[in-house]
Amino acid sequence: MTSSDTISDASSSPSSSSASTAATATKTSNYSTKERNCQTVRIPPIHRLAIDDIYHNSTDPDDKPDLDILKEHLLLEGRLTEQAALRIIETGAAILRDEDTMLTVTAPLTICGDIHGQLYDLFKLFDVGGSPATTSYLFLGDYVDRGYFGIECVLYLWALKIHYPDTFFLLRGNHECRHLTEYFTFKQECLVKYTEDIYDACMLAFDCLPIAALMNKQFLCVHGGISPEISTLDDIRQLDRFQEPPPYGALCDLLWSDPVQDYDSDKDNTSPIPQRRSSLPLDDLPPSLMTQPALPSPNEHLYLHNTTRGCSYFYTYAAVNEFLVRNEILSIIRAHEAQDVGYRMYRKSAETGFPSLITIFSAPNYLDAYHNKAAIMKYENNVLNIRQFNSSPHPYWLPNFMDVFSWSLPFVGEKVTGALLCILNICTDEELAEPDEQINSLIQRNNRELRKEQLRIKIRALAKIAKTYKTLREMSENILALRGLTPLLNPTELLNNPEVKTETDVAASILRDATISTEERFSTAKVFDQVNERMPPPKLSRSVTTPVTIERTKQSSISDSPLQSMSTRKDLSSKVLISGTTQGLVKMRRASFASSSVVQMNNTTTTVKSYSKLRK
Amino acid sequence: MGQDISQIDSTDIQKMLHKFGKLDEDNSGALSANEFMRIPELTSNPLVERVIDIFDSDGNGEVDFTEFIRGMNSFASKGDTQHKLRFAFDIYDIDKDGYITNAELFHVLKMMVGNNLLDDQLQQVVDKTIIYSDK
Repeated sequence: MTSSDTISDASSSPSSSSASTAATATKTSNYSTKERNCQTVRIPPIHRLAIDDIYHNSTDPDDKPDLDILKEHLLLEGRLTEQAALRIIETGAAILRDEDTMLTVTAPLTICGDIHGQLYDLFKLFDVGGSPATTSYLFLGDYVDRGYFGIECVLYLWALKIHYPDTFFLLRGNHECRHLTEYFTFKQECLVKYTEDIYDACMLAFDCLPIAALMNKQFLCVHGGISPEISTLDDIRQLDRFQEPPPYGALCDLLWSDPVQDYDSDKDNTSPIPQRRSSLPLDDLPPSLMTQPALPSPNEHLYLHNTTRGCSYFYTYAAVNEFLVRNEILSIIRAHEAQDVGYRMYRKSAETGFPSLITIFSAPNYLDAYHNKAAIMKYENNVLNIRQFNSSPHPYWLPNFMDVFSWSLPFVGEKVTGALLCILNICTDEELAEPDEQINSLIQRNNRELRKEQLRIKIRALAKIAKTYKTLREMSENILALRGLTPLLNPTELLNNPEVKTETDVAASILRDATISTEERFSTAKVFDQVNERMPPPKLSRSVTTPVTIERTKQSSISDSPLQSMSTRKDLSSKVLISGTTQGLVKMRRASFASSSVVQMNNTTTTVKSYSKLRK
Repeated sequence: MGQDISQIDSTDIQKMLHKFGKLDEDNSGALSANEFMRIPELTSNPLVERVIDIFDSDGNGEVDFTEFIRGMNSFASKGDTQHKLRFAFDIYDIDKDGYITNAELFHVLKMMVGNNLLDDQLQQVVDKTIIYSDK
């Protein structure tokens, strides 16, 4: 290390640093203590963009935010004032609120999957897909969490929605909710970069996001997939979407479900599907699709419990095919699962020869660990084009938006106490090994023993501190290496959980291993990230009792046996009543959102507060 | 911490003087960084130079015995959070002007981080901390 030279040089200079001029200051042989080290790294702008910086005519309620100014500022990691951010979020939310729960969209259209806060990759996406000024877009959700620029993604996407309300469309993903954003990083991100009011405004805006889109009357677009509680497109249209998604039920399933692992090789394609055009009442389906199968094969079931997510279902090819036929559509386009090449086409439908299911994923090098390509889909003139793209560089953040002092202090503590411990230890060795005659002559026997014991106690105490700091530091290092692969906020939690420590150790070493192949890296990252694909556990000690809490207890009593696909009509309708999906209820909920979402220029704080009242 | 590491009393001081003498090879009456580094465990410790620099209150590049005892005692003072925070602050404040600049923060972190982060990455997190901490 060369810094030892530099330190002694600094110390030997006669003038103390405070007497030096700003230009040269304390110049050691290697570096200055005044000049910023990496001059080529652009420093983020310090000032926040205000409403008048972004809007050219801010008193006009129809005025729109300047996209170029916003983009340039966000790229540099600049921030907005709370008022400016609120205005964009709430104006966007108002537009979303008035849209149907299932959008009707037409080709040409560019369909995009998960973004997950990867702002710099989002801008690359627009380079690849074309400017929203001239290109129609449909995003399938998951704009926040995992990546560290979620709020910037929201602000820019919402600004685009404001500019192009009729050609730019956003759907809801499973991450656009309070439960996941609290558990992962988006809430923390809002608190660090903005305020809790901004976070609350985002949650209310997310409640307004439509759930699905029907493209060209041929493609159902949704974040996760289909649900055993959804038989027709109308079932989706009639859902009450203006709420935190419950932990089970149709709204949950549409955002959370996945195709079964062996979707493509599922042999159950022999079930006789009657003529395509008839709409079948549920009771009348042929016996092979009924419940209580004689055979143990899981293929007899259309839906299985989704053990990966810990909630919702896996849907089979048979389930999808049944849905496509019943609703006379061609395919389902969804996102929700990371793909090595950015997309996946699944088994073709027997009737059409077209893939029954397509996954699209638009976050390249997901979590800075998967090393995957991203993709978007362009549908035009009855042709589906896939465009892939790679990741772009992005500024660095410590895990959970930690500042460098919180990050380094445990290490400083460990190393400093370690150094002092070394020095004290030398004294102890000395004292215990060679009784010094000089000392003996000065101290009585019992005093000597007392001194020894006191020193031993001091050493032990120091050693304890040193060990704690060491463990904390190792924890921090592992968090750093895994960046984004663990949502746990508190390093001391990790300290108390030896299981996690081992996993993170192993994962960290794997990530550092440069010789690992690309495929291995994707699948290894995926394995270690699997825990983060699950629905997070419910919050434990909350005094607020909401309907969602009660429903959670219900959920836990459902057994794990594969779900029988066929419920009677009666069961389904009773579920429908419980979840309150009547038209009247939807109208009421939408209206209650409407009354608070009017953008008030002068008093945006009041608006947000009324949102909060609504939520509780 | 159970027991306090408060006063290092006269007996301990005698012992430290003994060892201090052993480390002081050139009999200058003070320990330089090189002499400290004779303690084997210290060579792998990236913050030893910072600790020595803080002990070295008169800035002459070496730690004499008074500075040494004073430094040990000040660090070990009974439950004084303020004192310990000051010590932590001093770790980062290389030129001892009472301010931690962007450059100082970068370089102290660099000592600790080594090659686990690229310089540019480290600079970016330092920038954000400074910008958003500096009221």
